[in-house]
Amino acid sequence: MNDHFAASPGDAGSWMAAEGEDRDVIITSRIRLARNVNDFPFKARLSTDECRRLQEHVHEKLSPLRFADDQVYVDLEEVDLLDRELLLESHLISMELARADGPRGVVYSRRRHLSIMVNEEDHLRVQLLGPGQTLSEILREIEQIDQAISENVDYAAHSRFGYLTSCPTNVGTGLRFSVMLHLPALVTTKEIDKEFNAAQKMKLAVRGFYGEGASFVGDFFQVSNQVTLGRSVEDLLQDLLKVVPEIVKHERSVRSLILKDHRNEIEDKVYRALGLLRHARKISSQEALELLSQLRLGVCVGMVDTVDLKSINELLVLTQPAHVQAMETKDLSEEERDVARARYVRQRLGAE
Amino acid sequence: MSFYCQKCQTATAKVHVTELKEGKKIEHHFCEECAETQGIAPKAAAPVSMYKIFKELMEKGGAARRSRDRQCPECGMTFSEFKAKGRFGCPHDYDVFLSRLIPLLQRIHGASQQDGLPPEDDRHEDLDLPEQEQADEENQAQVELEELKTELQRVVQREQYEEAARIRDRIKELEETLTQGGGA
Repeated sequence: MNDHFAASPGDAGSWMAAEGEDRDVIITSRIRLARNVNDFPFKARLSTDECRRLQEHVHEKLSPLRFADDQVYVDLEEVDLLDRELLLESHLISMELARADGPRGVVYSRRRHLSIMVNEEDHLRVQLLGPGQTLSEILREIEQIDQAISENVDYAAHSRFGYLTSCPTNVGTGLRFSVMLHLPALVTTKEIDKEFNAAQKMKLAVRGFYGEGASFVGDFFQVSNQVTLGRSVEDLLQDLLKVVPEIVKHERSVRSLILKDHRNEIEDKVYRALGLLRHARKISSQEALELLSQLRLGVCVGMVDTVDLKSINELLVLTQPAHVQAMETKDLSEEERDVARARYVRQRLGAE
Repeated sequence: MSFYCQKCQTATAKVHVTELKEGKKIEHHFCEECAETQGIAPKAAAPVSMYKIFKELMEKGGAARRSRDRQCPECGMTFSEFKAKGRFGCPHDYDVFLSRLIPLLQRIHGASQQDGLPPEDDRHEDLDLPEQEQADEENQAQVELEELKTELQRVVQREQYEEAARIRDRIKELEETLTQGGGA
């Protein structure tokens, strides 16, 4: 374990702070930009040498820039798998960047709200995360970052298409908004399908917690724009600002409805989750995610007041495998990890 | 009455060609093999040869695909490689594959140009619309072509040779339009 993350192994990142608007339903907001550097082929056609040349070129151009006072550059070829998995679980790098080979790197902030991936599917993937519903705020911030980078790096762009990307699904603005939502009531009542359909009509994609292709675990969903061409960034933002509050409103009204009609059942579920989290001796990351989801509902509707929302949000990040491993000094087997996870959750929830 | 092939002098001549040279008729008689080596194809032999259908398709299809499948001079990417991988090789690919990219972008984004440009309908018709129509037609032809090729394999397996010959002709036709229209 080297020092990139060890400085704060129990830190979940500023964006899990349970602040921001609509925090009872919206966990985080995220914006991602796909950019490529002119005069370099796209990733699919870059040789290892060219990848390295590009990485050095970008590093040289970006290093004088200050995006955040706590920014760090990491050459991902030089760090071990655990650190890469930590970055992945913190949403700072993609699966591809964590597990692929070849020259690649990331600039990120220790608060973990900013990351600039180098040599991902596109040469540059700039990403900002914020707590709750903070899309407009982080849009302003990421536009400044984009502007600063573009003054130093020559972006690949086209008069007709806008920013050129390796995959045509990102061409144009190269911008993806996404909001992570916690929708336990809509899932329980199966009302969620209506919201999916409404989102799809607006050309918004709905995905599970772990992103593309993942199944929905623990009632966490990500809503994002699919279209990146032919619309302005402002219009795309307005689409999300139209749809997301509707989902939030719907989730809240179903929460109060089931609380009125099925209070005993909900209360039982929430307190069973709390009991397991406070006393279990072995918990897998998936089980933790499911239990935390139920407990989170209990906290949001005021049923449980001994646990705060911030602790739950942080536990969602910190109970993931690499984060559990990083808090221990020796290498853990899967079973030992489940034991360590259960112990950590008990401590955080004040049971020990 | 039967002749021996005038070239090899051994096999029976089955291909008879009448050449008009300086107003005189000159008759040639070859066996099938020699006719082929001379570049004189035998006239559609009565029983359809499956071997020939496939051979023709391979040659024809191969040639058509090669001439159709444009290649980016910068990165060497072809459209079929892009279709298989879903990733472009370099920024130039957007121009190289423009006509085929437009319908694709329409499907993904419901648009084929960035926000802020004049709408396509308002532009001069000779600019983008014919290009797009052609691209759409090409796409349809491509789809039909793929379907026909699958169908051909099916009928050949069932030994429905007449049907196979009909499909083969349609494939030829399509490949010719694609090669001409593709503007490689």
